[in-house]
Amino acid sequence: MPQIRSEIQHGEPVSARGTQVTPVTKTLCIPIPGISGGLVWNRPYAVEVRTADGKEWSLPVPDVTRQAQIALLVMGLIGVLLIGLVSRKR
Amino acid sequence: MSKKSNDLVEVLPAEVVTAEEAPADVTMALPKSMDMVKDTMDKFLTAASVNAVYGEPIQSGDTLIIPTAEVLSGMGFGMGLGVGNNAAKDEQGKPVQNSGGGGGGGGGGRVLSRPVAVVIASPKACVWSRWWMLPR
Repeated sequence: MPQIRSEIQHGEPVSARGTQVTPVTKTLCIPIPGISGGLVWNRPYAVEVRTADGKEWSLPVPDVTRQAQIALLVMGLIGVLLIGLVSRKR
Repeated sequence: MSKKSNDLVEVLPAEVVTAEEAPADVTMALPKSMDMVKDTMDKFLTAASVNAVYGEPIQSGDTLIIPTAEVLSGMGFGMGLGVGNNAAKDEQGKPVQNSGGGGGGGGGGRVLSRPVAVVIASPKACVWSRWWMLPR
């Protein structure tokens, strides 16, 4: 049976005036059993930065839209729970 | 059997392919279909590459701007093939070779993408920014 695969991929480094930036992505491959095909979810994960003076670090690329969506969902669930609790007490 | 259908039976052996030829005829279309499937699969798999997520870098002086996007791609396809033989005999008892086959397939897919952020790299710092906050 095909398995769900998650992998981190590094792209080609890009340079500008001594600063080298390497893009990194996180890919999730979900095969659908029974048919040929599946789902591929690819999103930015981080960029690895190397400056001219040799400093190297990884800068995560957050998905603010997704974070806002999750926050709204959580707030909605909490609201439903609170309304449920308040209406039960009455 | 009527005269008309008897004529039909007599005419058929000259036009139909033999049992040995039929699968080859039917499967001739298979490599073309497989190529189409392979091409579609290749296009689908490009969604899994780093280049699909990070756009072409834009250089402005010392600063490098790299747009990023989230890509969600889904597809599915299937195909089938069938071949059959009919070893019937006509009224004179001569074997009537009649064979045929067919195949078909189908599929579908969708690629969705949306901007996520912009990476700004300069000799002083490397930061990310929300894509909608960039000056137009």
